Amino acid sequence: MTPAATQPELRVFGREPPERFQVLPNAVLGTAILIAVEMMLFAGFISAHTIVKAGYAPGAWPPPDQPRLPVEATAVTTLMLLASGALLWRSAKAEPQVQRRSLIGAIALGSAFVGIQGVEWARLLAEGLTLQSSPFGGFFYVIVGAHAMHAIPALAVLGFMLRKLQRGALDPDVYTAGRMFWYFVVAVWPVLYWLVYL
Amino acid sequence: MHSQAPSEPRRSFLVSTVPGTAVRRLGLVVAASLVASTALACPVCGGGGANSAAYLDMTIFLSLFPLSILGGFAGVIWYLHKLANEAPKRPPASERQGA
Repeated sequence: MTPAATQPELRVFGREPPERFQVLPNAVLGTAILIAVEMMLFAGFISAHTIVKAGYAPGAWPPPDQPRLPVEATAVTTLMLLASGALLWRSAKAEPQVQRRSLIGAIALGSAFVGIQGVEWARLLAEGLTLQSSPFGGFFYVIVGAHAMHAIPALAVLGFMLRKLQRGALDPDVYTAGRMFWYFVVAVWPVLYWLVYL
Repeated sequence: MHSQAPSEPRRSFLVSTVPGTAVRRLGLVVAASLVASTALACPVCGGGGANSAAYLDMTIFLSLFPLSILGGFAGVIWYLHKLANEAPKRPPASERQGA
């Protein structure tokens, strides 16, 4: 006798209860809720930045006495980040070997993005653009820093997934959830780049 | 038994026992409201120009954005539920127990 057969069957008004099924795995639902919350965080940043920027006279943002942001170098790193997202997207339903190569590529490109951004930050700090030097500097470091604070844990998740994949123990739901979070990190960056850098 | 003192008529700017006074005072209030300009207590929302427009735009954005996220959630779950319902049904539990 199976364990299910030992349990009394619940009957409501003489009928079987409706079949219950899960349409969304827990890991995916949890990650989707987290992403929604993070989207609201960035929406708040974008809103505050837009209002403050609109208060400046035309041509006064960024302030003339503040260092210029590295628009071209960041455009290249933006392309790297987009490429890492595309790599993961293409390997979603591929063989584990292809998934492994895609994960390695995405981690490499994502790490390069974070590393180059870090180098640019150090250069800007040395040139005098700080969190307190102007509202421009404050918004730059808060918004770009918030994105980096998402990109770095997301890279750690990708690394965790790669390790699990190499051991053959990667849960497909965890793989989907991890990819979703990386897509969020990739998708929000061009919006921030357009707002803050351009 | 105590007799209550007669209550005094309610006094306010627009209430008067003198005929025509209330109408004149009301006219004064209306005239003053037409002459006075808006009190711009907040330079962000009442200042006009690009800053005011940005404030209004971002208010609309922040109001609609969470609703669109919730709507997207509901849409995805409804779609997945529809897909699951269209998939081949499993036999009822009573039939599965015998298997």
